[in-house]
Amino acid sequence: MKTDKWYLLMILPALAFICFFIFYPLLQGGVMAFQNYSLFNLKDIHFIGLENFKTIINSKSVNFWQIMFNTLKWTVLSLILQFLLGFLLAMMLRKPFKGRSLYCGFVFYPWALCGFAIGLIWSWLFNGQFGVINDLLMKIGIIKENIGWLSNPKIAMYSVVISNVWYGIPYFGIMLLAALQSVPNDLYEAAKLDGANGIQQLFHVTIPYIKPTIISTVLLRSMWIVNFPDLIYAMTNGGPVNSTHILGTMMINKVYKEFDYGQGSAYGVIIMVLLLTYAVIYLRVTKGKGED
Amino acid sequence: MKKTIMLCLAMILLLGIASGALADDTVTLTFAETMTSPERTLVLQNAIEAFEAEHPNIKVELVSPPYESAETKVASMLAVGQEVDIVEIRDNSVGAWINNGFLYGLDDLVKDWDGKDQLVDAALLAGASMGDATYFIPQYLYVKALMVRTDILEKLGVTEMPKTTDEFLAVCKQITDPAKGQYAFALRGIGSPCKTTDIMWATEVSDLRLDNFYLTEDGTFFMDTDGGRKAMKDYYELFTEACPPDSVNWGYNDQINGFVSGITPFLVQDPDAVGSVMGSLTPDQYTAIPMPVGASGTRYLDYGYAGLAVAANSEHPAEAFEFIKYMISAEVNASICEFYGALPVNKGAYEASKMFELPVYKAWADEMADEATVFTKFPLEDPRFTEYASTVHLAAIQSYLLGQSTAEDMIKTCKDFWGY
Repeated sequence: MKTDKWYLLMILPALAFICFFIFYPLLQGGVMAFQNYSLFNLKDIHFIGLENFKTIINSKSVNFWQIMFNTLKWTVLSLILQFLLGFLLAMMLRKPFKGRSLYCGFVFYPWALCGFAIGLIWSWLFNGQFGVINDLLMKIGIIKENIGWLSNPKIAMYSVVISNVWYGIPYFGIMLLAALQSVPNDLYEAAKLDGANGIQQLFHVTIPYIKPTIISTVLLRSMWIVNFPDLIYAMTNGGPVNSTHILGTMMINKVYKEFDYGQGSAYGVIIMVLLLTYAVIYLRVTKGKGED
Repeated sequence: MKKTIMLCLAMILLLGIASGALADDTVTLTFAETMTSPERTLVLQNAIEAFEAEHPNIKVELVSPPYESAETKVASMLAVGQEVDIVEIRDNSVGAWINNGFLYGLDDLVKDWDGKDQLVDAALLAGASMGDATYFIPQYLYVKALMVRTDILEKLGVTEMPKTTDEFLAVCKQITDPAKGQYAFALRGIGSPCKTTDIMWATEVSDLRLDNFYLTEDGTFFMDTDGGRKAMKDYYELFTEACPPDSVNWGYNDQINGFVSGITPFLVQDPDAVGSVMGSLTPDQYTAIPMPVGASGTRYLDYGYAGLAVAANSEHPAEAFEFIKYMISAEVNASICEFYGALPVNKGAYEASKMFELPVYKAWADEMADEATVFTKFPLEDPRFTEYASTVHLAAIQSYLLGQSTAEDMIKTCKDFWGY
């Protein structure tokens, strides 16, 4: 009993820290979502029920359902491509070769950059007028006219997704590589003896063995992608014609451009509820499957 | 003897108190900047040191929150009544600060101030433009003008500079040749494009209100007029026939890049753009000319600004105002404006600095002195303006330029938003 108290005392500072810096802002943000809270009128902060949510959902200038759809598109596309390419990268790096550490250093480099910087780099690459990508494609002869990667509402989302994929591949690469290296060689040898070919080995040995890592990395990464508006913000500002606005960029807009903390928090609460629901369902669906 | 000693002691005591009181006379002011950058902070610190040397009884402490969150941070300092005396204000948020009662009414102090005659007219207008009193003194001004790459235009055979909007559209179409990668106009696609388009369009519309040029004298929304429709049609032509298609996504840096590279030799910008191009272009490669005038014969311009204000809960408003006066005195004003290239508010600053003697700055002086120029303003005090600029108008104009919606759609979207 005495040791219990002692433990409690020891974790108290950490607990206080977490409460103050994580739970308090979370709670405060939650409360603000139901308040009329704008920098234009700080003297008149009051509860307005669900008004902020209604305003967001019924907004005539920004179609809320389009924003939701954009968020889904951005997240799913980025996640699938990041995962597949990250997995491929990890598979290729599994066997030692000369200069592997140096090579690893290079390919994992994007993960060390901040989102806004990546946005600036890619917006120059994708620039329809002076961009490197158009120039290269033109020189190879694939295109004859400049493509407005970021100025055409039909393709802008794919352009920002490509930059996000570039950024996210190393994450899956690192995590899956670590998992892959823990797969015992005996299993492959046994599979070979049973006559399994490369693809069968992948699906019956490798993937089942690293499943727990896959499940947790995919969950984490999908949440991070939803919460990663920096890139879009630097590249397109949510445009053209709102075609790349996601919930996160709208939240930034509301707080830093429109100074409406109430509606900004409402977007925050929507993101939180969506992610919580997603996490619960995801963990339910994948429950037990990790121990195959 | 005892008496003498007592008297001496009393004298010493009194002197001590007096000198103590004298020492306490030093007033410490807190000054919060909102446009923080390391180089700029240094410029401010130098100015503060010079001010303190001139005013030994006033000390100024500089607070420099990081740029991205500076405004929100200073606003919350003011909201909770933290000790701040002088704050830097910006045109897009000063309305909110006045509305919240954060700022001190300066009318009484300004009244007895001889130096106000030293300010350019637009600065006085700006200072009185928000709220029911003078709440701030602008430090520098942003006024739009048409920047031109004279060298490129000469090569393309253009010698006569456009004076009217029709001439401007014609010359833009004439020099554009997409096959050669030559376009004419550096369009502002993102980042509050209304600050550019609305100024360019307004000149086609007569009788706009001077306190809010979105409305005509009879209360019609400015786009919803014959002049407004013509301006929108011209702008569509300008985009489709004389701008890089990609420019619908161009922000400030892309505009500057288009101008410096010569792809788009025309650029509508504030004078701080001069600061951005100066490193890459020589003074004989570019200049600025007054904004072309449309059918109304009037050039409606707005004055963007950043300035200094005294906090409402400052205990030393007089000393704080003393500091503001110092900050906008000719030489200090010039040194701070040189940093950005924005227009100084002090007439003397134009002589105190070599930079503002550059020919390109003459355009702004000419433009502001021109009789066709009328200063008006965006409805900045309306809390909805930020939403209009950053979301509503942005999406509407992109959609219009990309052919996804008509001019009428755009007029309706904007009109409905404002409820005009």
